[in-house]
Amino acid sequence: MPFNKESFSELIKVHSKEIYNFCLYLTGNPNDAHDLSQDVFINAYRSIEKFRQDCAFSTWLHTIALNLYRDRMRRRKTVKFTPMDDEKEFSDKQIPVEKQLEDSELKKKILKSLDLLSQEQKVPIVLKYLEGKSLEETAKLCNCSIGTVSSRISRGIKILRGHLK
Amino acid sequence: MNCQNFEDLIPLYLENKLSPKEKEVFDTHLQGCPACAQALSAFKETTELLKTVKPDELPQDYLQNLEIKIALEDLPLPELQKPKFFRPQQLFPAFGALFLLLIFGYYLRNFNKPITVPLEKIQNPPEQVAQQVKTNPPVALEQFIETKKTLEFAKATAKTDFILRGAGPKYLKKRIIKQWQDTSSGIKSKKSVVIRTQAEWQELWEAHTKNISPMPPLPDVDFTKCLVVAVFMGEQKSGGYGIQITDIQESEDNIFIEFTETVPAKGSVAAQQLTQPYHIIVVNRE
Repeated sequence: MPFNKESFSELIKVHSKEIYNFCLYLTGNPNDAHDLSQDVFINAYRSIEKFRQDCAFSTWLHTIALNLYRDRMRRRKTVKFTPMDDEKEFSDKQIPVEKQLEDSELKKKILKSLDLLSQEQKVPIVLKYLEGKSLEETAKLCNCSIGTVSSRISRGIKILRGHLK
Repeated sequence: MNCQNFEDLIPLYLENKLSPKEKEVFDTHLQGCPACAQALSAFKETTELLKTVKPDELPQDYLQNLEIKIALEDLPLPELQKPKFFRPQQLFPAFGALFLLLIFGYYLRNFNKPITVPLEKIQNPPEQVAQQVKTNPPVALEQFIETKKTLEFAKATAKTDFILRGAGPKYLKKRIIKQWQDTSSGIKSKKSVVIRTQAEWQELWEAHTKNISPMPPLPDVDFTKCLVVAVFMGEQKSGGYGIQITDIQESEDNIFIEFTETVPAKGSVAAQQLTQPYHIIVVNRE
């Protein structure tokens, strides 16, 4: 697929779900995920000419998403928003209602627990276990060695487990 | 290997990223440390749980919104107004500052001025002051007189050499008790007198009334309580002259007599007769 402005809507269709969900794991709520992921695509659109194709397009989008996310967190360091009512936000039509409810509850719990982790621990866990990236990819996106990623994941998971219990 | 190191390596171990040597050490520790074995299984359990999370579907209108935003990106940006370097509004503070500066300047202008002119003049040498008198207009002359008084006052050894009118511990304005005023008197020379005794009074009265016969009786004045002040203008060649005591002031050691002399206006017709205007008044001593 060519990476230019003309074929961008095709690229969006392919990657939007993935990026939206990645943003959802990062931000922890659908509204922020919506805004963040749309900004990711707009930024990508603006600088699509700069995409050197030395990595997957998806990885490039992930990088943009991570940069934007870190940027936002830095800007609103002191204020953290927790939405009051996000009951209906996690609907999924294909799954039967009971299972859907159960999954939705679990997912909500996981997202909330993830949000309690530090950025350094949250990002590799999301990339590795929710996005299914390899350790090497995760390390590249996090700009650190796989050893560092490993220890951050391990400590993060330990904390996460404490919250999920 | 301690337990913390062990835990840090768990993700690497599970992904088979450890070197054979590291793996060996890891396995050894795992077998000897139940806590770490527990940690490993807990880790596996949690990550498995995370893997069950299914991705959300995109929210409604997500793609449409995105399309619109991207379409907006392609629109030519409205040409931004060039930043003007000069705007009239920028002048307001400048005007304000200028205005303040002017006010401040006006204030400073008065700042260096002496509070009174005499103070400045005191610093001038007397000769210079005297020179000024000749050349200066009448107003300056008046100032000079003030200056001279001030100067002399400053130089005076005893303060009693000086008369400070209108002030002092015993300052009084006298009230007139009796008075005589006319233009015909036996005293033909210009003089002013203060009479404190009956004898002096008798003498003055006789001199004053010597042209009248019979001589009017000496007016009764109680010199224990009162005194007489008399001013004579001297003999004048026509009518229209007059003299009037306008103010009597007594300070601690002096009596001040202020009188006004009137003369006929130039070119006016006046009675052609000799006149000797006078004004005699009786005032209280205290």
